[in-house]
Formats: sequence, structure tokens, C-alpha cells
Amino acid sequence: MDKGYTGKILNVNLSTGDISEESIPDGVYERFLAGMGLGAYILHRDIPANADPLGPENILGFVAGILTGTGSLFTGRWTVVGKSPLTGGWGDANCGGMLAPAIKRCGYDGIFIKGCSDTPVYLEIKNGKAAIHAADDLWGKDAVETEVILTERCRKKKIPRVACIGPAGENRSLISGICTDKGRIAARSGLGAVMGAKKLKALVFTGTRKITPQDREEMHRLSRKCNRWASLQIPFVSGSMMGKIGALMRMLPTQMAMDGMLFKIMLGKWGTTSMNQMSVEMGDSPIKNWKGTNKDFDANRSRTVDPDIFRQCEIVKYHCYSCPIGCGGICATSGKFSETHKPEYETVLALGGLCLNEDADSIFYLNELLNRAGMDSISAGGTVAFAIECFEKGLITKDDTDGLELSWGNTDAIVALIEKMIRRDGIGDLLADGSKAAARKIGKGAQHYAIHAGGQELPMHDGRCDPGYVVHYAAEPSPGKHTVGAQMYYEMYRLWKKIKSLPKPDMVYFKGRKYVADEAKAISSAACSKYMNVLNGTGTCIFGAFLGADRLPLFDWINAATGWKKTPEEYLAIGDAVQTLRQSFNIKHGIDPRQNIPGPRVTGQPALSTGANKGRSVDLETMIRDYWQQFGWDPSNGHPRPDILPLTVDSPTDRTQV
Amino acid sequence: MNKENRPIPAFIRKKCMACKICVDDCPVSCIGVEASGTAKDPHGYPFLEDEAQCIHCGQCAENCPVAAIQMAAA
Ligand code: SF4
Ligand code: SF4
Ligand code: SF4
Repeated sequence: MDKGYTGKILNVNLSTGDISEESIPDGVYERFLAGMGLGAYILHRDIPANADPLGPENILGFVAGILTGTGSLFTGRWTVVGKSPLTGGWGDANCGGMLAPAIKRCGYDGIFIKGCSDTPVYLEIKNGKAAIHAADDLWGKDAVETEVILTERCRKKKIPRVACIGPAGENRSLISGICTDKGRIAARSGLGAVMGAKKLKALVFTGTRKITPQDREEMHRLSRKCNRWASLQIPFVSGSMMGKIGALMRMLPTQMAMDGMLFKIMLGKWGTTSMNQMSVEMGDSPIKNWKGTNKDFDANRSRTVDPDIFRQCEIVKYHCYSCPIGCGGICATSGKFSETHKPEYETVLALGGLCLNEDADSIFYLNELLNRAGMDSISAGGTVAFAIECFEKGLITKDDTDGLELSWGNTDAIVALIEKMIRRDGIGDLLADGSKAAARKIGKGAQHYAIHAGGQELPMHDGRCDPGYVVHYAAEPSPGKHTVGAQMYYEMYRLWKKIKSLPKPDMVYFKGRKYVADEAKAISSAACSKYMNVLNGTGTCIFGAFLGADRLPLFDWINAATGWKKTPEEYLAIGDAVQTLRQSFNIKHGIDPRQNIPGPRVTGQPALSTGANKGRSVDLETMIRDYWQQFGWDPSNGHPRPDILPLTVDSPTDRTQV
Repeated sequence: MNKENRPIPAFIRKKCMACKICVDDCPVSCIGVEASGTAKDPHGYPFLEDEAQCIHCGQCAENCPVAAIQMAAA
């Protein structure tokens, strides 16, 4: 292995107990990279069209990026892929921690698991070997407990790394994810439920193999250069000033193109919580289940989520593998848990402003509770906000909620409801599969209050403030995710610095321009998606990408790690192919891409009459059509044209039992 | 193993990114991460947690991208 990747995957069948190793031709990496691209290739090839996401035919893949472990920076993200039980189509979620290099140290770029076990099991993977063990004693334990036990049980000399589900995944909650490093979670797409359905409690990686890039010296030279940008940290304003900056941004008629260095400095100081009040004030953060405004969660109410509050209880900063920034943190908390990973912006606002909950202690508690249970905090918050609105409208009453008074900002009821969702207890059972599934059961028009794309609850970024977000929520192969593109992301990616044909945004522009559907926006949105596929193929964190393509030497790192001599344009073409491959997966599995378009509230139809997003609506239809066209897909329905479908039907090659 | 005069890693704090590449690289996991930071510098830096386990292989130093580890006599 001297190309950064191992050239091998492990296929495990939990129904039969078969475990086999498969060699992957170099050409596959050159077409789709490793990480999510490799995952898309295998899943498109091997999951039959009508496979039940919770049945034995679905395949759950744990993949590491082509750059992970090669001396590059920001490349410690691993990805889990599978057919999503939440959306019915392509599912992926990524996560940091220390797991990604551990996958490759076992000798594999990915572990692909099909079949279902009858009894709880865990999978132990070593250097080129794997074994299935009974996990009856672990079933029912939370993710932190499970990880502690398995780390001790499987340790030889090197510390093993663990990915596992908590009770939410065991209970097949469709909004559950997969955890590592005591509370990091690959939360989206409901893939924890797939693992639960397979009765697979955990994977333990105990490999010790070296990961060798083609040119380590060049890798290090590039990393040192990148670190000069990544380590630049200047003194910055106080937390409470951030909200005021957001308010100022709201008032101005113009906006400046965002330079990601500013965001990096915010991340370095506070992590993603830097955005808390600022996002509320500028209209980026949806409030009160997307029907409220910043006025409903004004500076006085949001003061409890001032970024400095999170910083003050941070014991130490937390870095994912190979990350020089360390946006995470370990926080001391009071109450049932003494520590928790610093809650992310998404978590804080989904459990805060979206439900009008002002109680920061409850957010710390729920953060740890959800991480241990393995439940997605975005979907959990979105589903609670949905339930509160149903209660407000009288669609559900105290008789349905086991006596809970589900009113806006009722912290005790919100906490009790989430505890019930994790246990699937009473009303919690109804809500444990997210808002779309719950709305279907409640009926009576409840679907109007379920804010999702294709079944996945929307993140805490409002398309009425930046329309780029909602294009990606609606039109991506995996809908409802904020970690791909937005107009602001395009500004921060600075791809035009590397690819001259891409449009360069104006430094300053009138805000009204954001809502005009034009070709430059379609090209920029598509470029975000393609770039993200390259980032996910290499295992790179989006926050590294925010430094800008001229400061994060992604393409040069890939060339130095693999020995390839590809141009940035060629890498973006790979990202394009992966996008079509994922969309083809959806078409194969009967998804109509238009079914993922969220309801009218999200695009401002009708527009809000007050607050930061007053009078704003998004011409989503036109933007989606233009966006799909950029990939050569049918703009009317998002179907890739038959002549551009990537050839992915190669039959498996070279399998050996291990 | 006779450990006398065998080199062990010395971490150069000023250069270190706290990226944990060395933590992952060590084949015997004898490099730990500081459990708390200071107000001025809140990052958790690597340190030789279990010197007795070190096999003096130098992998940590070889793979640190910013040369923040020097192998030096114990
Ligand atoms: S920036 Fe944050 S999320 Fe990204 S790799 Fe670093 S610590 Fe992890
Ligand atoms: S690899 Fe180098 S920079 Fe990274 S934590 Fe170790 S000593 Fe510090
Ligand atoms: S020299 Fe080898 S064994 Fe010792 S700390 Fe470094 S990597 Fe670990």
C-alpha cells in the first residue's frame, strides 16, 4: 500500500457468518475515490432494487477517505453509507473522532455489512481478519458504556477504536445514528436503525498496519503550508458581541462575501457554538418550527446560549484525528452526567430556538443523552418542534402525550418527550421515527407542520436567509443536509482560485441578489456538491474546506498520496460522477427526486410578515431545475440521462474468504 | 528490552498542532492526550503517557507533519 488507499474492502454477511475480502481495482478509486465514492460504487452494485432498508439485503458500509492517515490535515472523517430507512434512498452520514484511520489500519478502505443476525453481535476487525462475537451483554447499554467495555475487552497493545449504536439504534428509531469516541455521532440518514436491524451492536477496529502515501515528504510540506493558515488565531470579540454582529448583518441592505478564515477564527475560539446568537439574529437559524422569527427568540431569550457560556465550561478542546483546529471540546456539566462533548450549534438551536427552549442546562443534558442513545439531535429537535405545533393546533392532546403539556419553551416537557422517544415509550414511540412518519400516523393535516426533506428533518440553516441551503436540502441525492453547499459555502470554498472557469462572487452585493435564480448560482451550487463528494471521498472535514481551496491543498494532497497527476478540474469531474452515481442509486430504488422537496413554509410561501426574513421567498423550483441541469440530469424530474449513468455493474472481483 | 540509551519522543509544544496523528500512529498507544487545557492554551497536547511501553520505533516522529517530535535519549 503506497497510494494512500489499501485497495481492499471487507464484506461481511451477518445472516450466514461469511466474511470475505475483496480487491478493488485501481480504476474504481480513480473514478470515485475512496470514502463515500467507494461506498456509492459498492452499494449501487450490490443492494438489489427493492431491498428493505431494515432487511438483510441492505448493506451498511463504514468507509475511510483516500487521504486519511497520509499526513494530510483535516482528514479524519469516516463515513457510514447505506440505504436510508428515513428517506428510502441513498443515505450517508459522516463523523470525526479517531475511527477513520483505524479502518485503514485493519487493511481495508471499507467494511460492508449485509445480512441480519438473529442475536446481538459485534464485529472485531484486525489486520486482514475479522470475527463475529456475541453481544448479548452489551445490548441495552448506551454508546459510551459500550465503547468503554469493548475498548478494554479488545485491547492488546494499541487502543482499539469503536463504532456502536445506543438504545435508539437498537430500537430501530429511524432518526438514530452511529457513535464513536464517547459521543461523536454519524447521525443523519437514520443509519443507526439499519445497524440495529442487523443486530450489530458495534464494530471494533484493532488493526496496526501502516498507512503509506506515495510521497510523505510532499504530504508534510503541503500540511505545513496549510497549517500556517489553520493555526492563525487572532484575539476576537466576546461571545455576546456575536449576537450584535448578527443583528448588524440583519440590518444592512448589503452583504459581504464570507472569507472562511473568519469562520475558522470563530471555530478556533468557540467551535460551532460561535454561530448561536449570531445566526438567530441574522435569520439563519429557524425559530419555532420555522414559523417564528428572531423576534420570538430575541437577544434576551437567547442570552443563555451565548457562545462564552459553552467556552467557560470547556475543560479541554477536542480535535478529531489530524485536525489542527479542534473545534470540539469536552465540557464539564452538572446533573446526571459530569461531562459531555461540547454541544454543536445544530444541537443547541434544534433543542433551543426551534422549540423556544431557553434552558441551557437542558441542552447540555439532552446533548449527552442523545449522544449516548445514538439519536440525531437535529431530527430529535425538529420532531419535538413538530409535536409542539401539533399540540398547539389541537391535533394531539394531553391524552396522546401521556399528560405532557407540550407548549413552546416548556423545558421539562421537551426533556421528558425526548427521553420517551429514546425508549419508544408512549408518545415517544410515535415520534421516534421522525416528523414525517409521525405526521402520517396523526393525520388531520399534521404533515403541514413536519419540516423535512424526503423524511429527514431540516438543519438549523434557513433557506430564506441563504437560498443555497434549501437547494441542497431539496435536490441532493441525500436530502435534508446542511453539510454540502450554500451560497455562503461557495464563497468560503474559493474554488475559483483553483478552477478558473468557476464564477467568482462579488465582494459586496445587495441581499436581494441572493434570491435571483441565475446560471452562476446553479454552477456554484453544483460545484459545492461536486467538491463535497471529493471531500467525502478523501475523508476531509468541511471546516477544513472553509479555509478555501487556495489554502487547503486538497488536490495536491491527493496527487502526493496516490501518485496521480490529476488536475483540480479532473477531481471535480470525479465529484460529478459520484453525484450521478448516488442519484442513480435513488432512481434504482424507486425514489422520485421531486418527493424530497420540502413544504412551502421553508421557502417562504407565504413569506414571513416580520423578522429577519420578512418578505423573503425562494424560487426553489427554478433553482432546482437549473441545479439538476448542471449534472446533465433531466431538469423536470432529476433523473440522470441514461447515457451519463456511470457504469457500475461490474461484477465483484477477486473475493477470498478470511 | 534494554531501554537504556534508546530514544524516546520529545514533544515540541510550540510546533505541535494537537492533531493526534502521533497518538494514532503509535503502535502501542503509549502516547496520551492531556485531559485539560489552560485558559491561555485550551488544547489537549500529546505526551508520552507510558514510557515503559514505548518500543522506540520513531513512527510518531516520522509521521508528525510539522516535525513537533524529536527522538532523543531518555
Ligand atoms: S474542524 Fe472540528 S469537526 Fe472538523 S475535523 Fe476539526 S475538530 Fe473535527
Ligand atoms: S503529530 Fe505532531 S503536531 Fe500532531 S499532535 Fe503529534 S506532535 Fe503534535
Ligand atoms: S517511538 Fe514508537 S512506540 Fe514510542 S511513542 Fe513513538 S510511536 Fe510510540
